[in-house]
Amino acid sequence: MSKRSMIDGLMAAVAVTSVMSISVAAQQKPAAAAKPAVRRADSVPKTPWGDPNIAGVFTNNDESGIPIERPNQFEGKQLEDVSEGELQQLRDQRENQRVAAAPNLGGIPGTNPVHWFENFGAKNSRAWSLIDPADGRIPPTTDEARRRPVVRGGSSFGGGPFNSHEDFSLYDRCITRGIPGSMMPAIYGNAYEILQGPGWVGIRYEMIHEARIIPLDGRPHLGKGVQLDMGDPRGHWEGDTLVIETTNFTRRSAYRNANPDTFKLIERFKPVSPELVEWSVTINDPTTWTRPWTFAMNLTRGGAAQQPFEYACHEGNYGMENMLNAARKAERDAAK
Amino acid sequence: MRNGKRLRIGAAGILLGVALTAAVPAAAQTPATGAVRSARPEARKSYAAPKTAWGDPDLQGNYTNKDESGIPFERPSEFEGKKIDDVADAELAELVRERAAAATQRAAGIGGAETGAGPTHWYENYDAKNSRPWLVVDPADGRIPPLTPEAQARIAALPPARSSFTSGPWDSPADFSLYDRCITRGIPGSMMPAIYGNSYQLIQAPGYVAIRYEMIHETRIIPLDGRPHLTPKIRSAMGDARGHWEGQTLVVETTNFNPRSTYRNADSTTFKLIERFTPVGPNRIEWAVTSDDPKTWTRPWTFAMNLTKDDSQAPFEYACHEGNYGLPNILSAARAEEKQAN
Repeated sequence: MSKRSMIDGLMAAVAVTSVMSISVAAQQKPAAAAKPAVRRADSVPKTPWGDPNIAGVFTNNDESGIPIERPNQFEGKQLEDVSEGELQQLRDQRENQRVAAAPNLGGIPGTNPVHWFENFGAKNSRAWSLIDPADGRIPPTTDEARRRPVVRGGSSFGGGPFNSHEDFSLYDRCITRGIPGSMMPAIYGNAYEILQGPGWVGIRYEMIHEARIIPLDGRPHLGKGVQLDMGDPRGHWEGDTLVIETTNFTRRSAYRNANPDTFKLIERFKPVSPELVEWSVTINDPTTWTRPWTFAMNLTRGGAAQQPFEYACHEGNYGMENMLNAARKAERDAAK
Repeated sequence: MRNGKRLRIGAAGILLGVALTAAVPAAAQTPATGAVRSARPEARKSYAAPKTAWGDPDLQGNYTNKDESGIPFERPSEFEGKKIDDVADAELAELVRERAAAATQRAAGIGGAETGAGPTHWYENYDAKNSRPWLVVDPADGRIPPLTPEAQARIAALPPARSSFTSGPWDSPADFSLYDRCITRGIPGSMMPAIYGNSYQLIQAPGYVAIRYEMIHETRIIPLDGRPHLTPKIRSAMGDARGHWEGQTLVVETTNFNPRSTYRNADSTTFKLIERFTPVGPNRIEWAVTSDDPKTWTRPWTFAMNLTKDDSQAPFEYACHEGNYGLPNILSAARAEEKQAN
């Protein structure tokens, strides 16, 4: 039981907070990251079979609270134009907001003490996370995308109506956070493990208990008839950077209501220092956005303390059921 | 939707999914092994596995043990006094024919129209080519050793084990097995052949082995660097696994299970599960599992079966709890019965 199970017990109460932090993060994500320490390519260690070696345990706790898009105050600026002093100010503001919200997090009956959360004291590496286009804004959606129906399932932080479990998000339901969702920093569970074998990379995600096993041997993507919540990833190396292209998502799991038939998600894991890997994510779907766009953040090498824990989500997911019960009670009360 | 087959099986949830559960406890009593005759000791010695770039034996690939469906754990009484190797190939072939015929007879019920369970061709356990007549290889009598008096008392004090195939009472999700609830099959449960989902993927890296299990969507990442086990205070449903090589054999020792996930109600504080993955041919691994718990059995014991390499059997994305309608349906049916009775 202990920490995780109890946290999970709160699922819709608190973990849902994490859904919120993700949606929030999805709207306004942290970016910055230590200016990539310049490192010579030949300084990246190699595996015995000659691939760059980026294996290990990582966390992105420190990227909590960074908005995806450029905040208005930096209008006209690039990420590199933000001074260390300005960045520190941003970190302080974000921490103050977290601390101000903390009594609610730790104070609701059945929730837990603040020290359980991983997102306090986050040392954001950047002021925002969008790096392309240069204006720091997600490109406009296409007309076609605007006409596309939204997949059913709001968040438990929304206002309902909650008539069925299908009115909740896949994350609320403990099914999946998809990609890139599985690597978005949340209030806890920000631990990842990268494992390399010849021709393969494995990535384990603590939150929701996901593992991707990604072939590097150049095989083609699966047929269009096979669609998966986590998509179908194929990897290769470009210099020291691991590039993963994922397609074949399900309609319901495709990022931001993209069209799974045309959507390609390209991740780049680039070692920038012995302790840091920059994870950048390019969203490419001509039927959804007027141009591709990219956000990036840092993954920081963690010690044994950051080893992914065995994650139990749906077992303790009483919140979803309780919210459905509460909605039925509200209906009965209204009918009286 | 996407996973046609799997998803719908998942939706059959406790009806079908539970058919699985039934298959597993049944397998736990009477597992199946199968297919090609298990490697005899001399074959095991003669096969040299390829090596990885860093010098470990290379066991990587996609495997299945669907051919091991239907093999009993313990030696059937007709083989009294015999060892596995004493069973002639013709006798084994006859056994396999009988088991296949019995499985086909049951098939009509399983694939039956009204359960939502899906047509017979969805199942992986038909026509299993069992590799052996029974699974227990040690002790030599083919019997699981007796429980210690302590374990008898401990197990007798437990509430009766329930699955969705037993008769209840169904008052809460906690009245169902961890497998019914889509939580875990634990270890060795995750590698026990069932009616479907018998796919495993093994990948290796320097210092690590990873094993993915299709059913219930489990992945173990097993360090090989000699680090000690976690403190006894940290327990998990899949336990804490440590591996090393003994010759060509990958040996994985797992401890630190949760009491609820510990195999056959062993004592989680003293239980060690030792798995041995021995390559016995280019497309075959023998998976041997030793259960060692002096507080539970009077001696350690071992069962074994084959894993067969088959790259057409890559694990699929498995969706269990999403379609697990059977569990709430059984609970609401129990409530409806109560109302009727009152």
